[in-house]
Amino acid sequence: MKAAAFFVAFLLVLAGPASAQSLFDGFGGTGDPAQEAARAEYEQWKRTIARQAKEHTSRLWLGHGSVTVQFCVDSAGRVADANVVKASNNEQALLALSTISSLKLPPPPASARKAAGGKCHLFSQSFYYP
Amino acid sequence: MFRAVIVFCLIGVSPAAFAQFLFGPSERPTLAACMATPENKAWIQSVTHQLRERAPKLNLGSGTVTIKFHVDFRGHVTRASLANYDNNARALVAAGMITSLKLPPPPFDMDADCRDFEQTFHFH
Repeated sequence: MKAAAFFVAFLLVLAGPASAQSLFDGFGGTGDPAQEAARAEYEQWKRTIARQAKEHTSRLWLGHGSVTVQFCVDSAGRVADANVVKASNNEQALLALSTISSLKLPPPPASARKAAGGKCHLFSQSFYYP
Repeated sequence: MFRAVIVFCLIGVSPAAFAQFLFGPSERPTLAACMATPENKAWIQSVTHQLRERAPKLNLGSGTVTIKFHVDFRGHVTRASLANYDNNARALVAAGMITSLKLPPPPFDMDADCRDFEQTFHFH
């Protein structure tokens, strides 16, 4: 077994609450401090997910390719559902799914939980095996 | 779709591995000897803690996988090998978990033999 590959974890955001954000947020935000704080908190939480996914990625070398996994995080921070939506091969898909299912996440911020209205937060994580 | 499916049975430095020497009595340190100093004990516990924390929740049926691995002086997993397994998917997930460990460097004076581990994963 060779533990010699580099993996790049890249988070694509498909989160429900994020999709509801204003198109003009990038030009200076909403101007509402509470909303800004909530958004910053949510971004911080998403970064936690991305960091954990990167840290939990296996260094097994299974060839070149990529895998994209869609998963849902519930209000308790549990990965509630995960599906491989694209994969170069089954082995990489299994490892990526295993990585996602092993995440130990904090619950989403209270404001995000409220905005989600009981629904889970949907994410899409791509793993690149160069 | 996910359920908690993996339970850890044997964690830490394997006494069995230490006992298996073909020629004469083993000179390898015992688990107790490896954990004699607080630094060594804390480091070995960090290995077991990570293994417990990173258990994937995939339902791959019932079975057992045993992996032997070594951690080098930098805290990197090396020389991992499957000692026993009954299914390729479960073996792959277990190997993926071992190779995803992010360990701190062990204490500098820790015996290299104390960094040999044997881990059994029970899938339910």
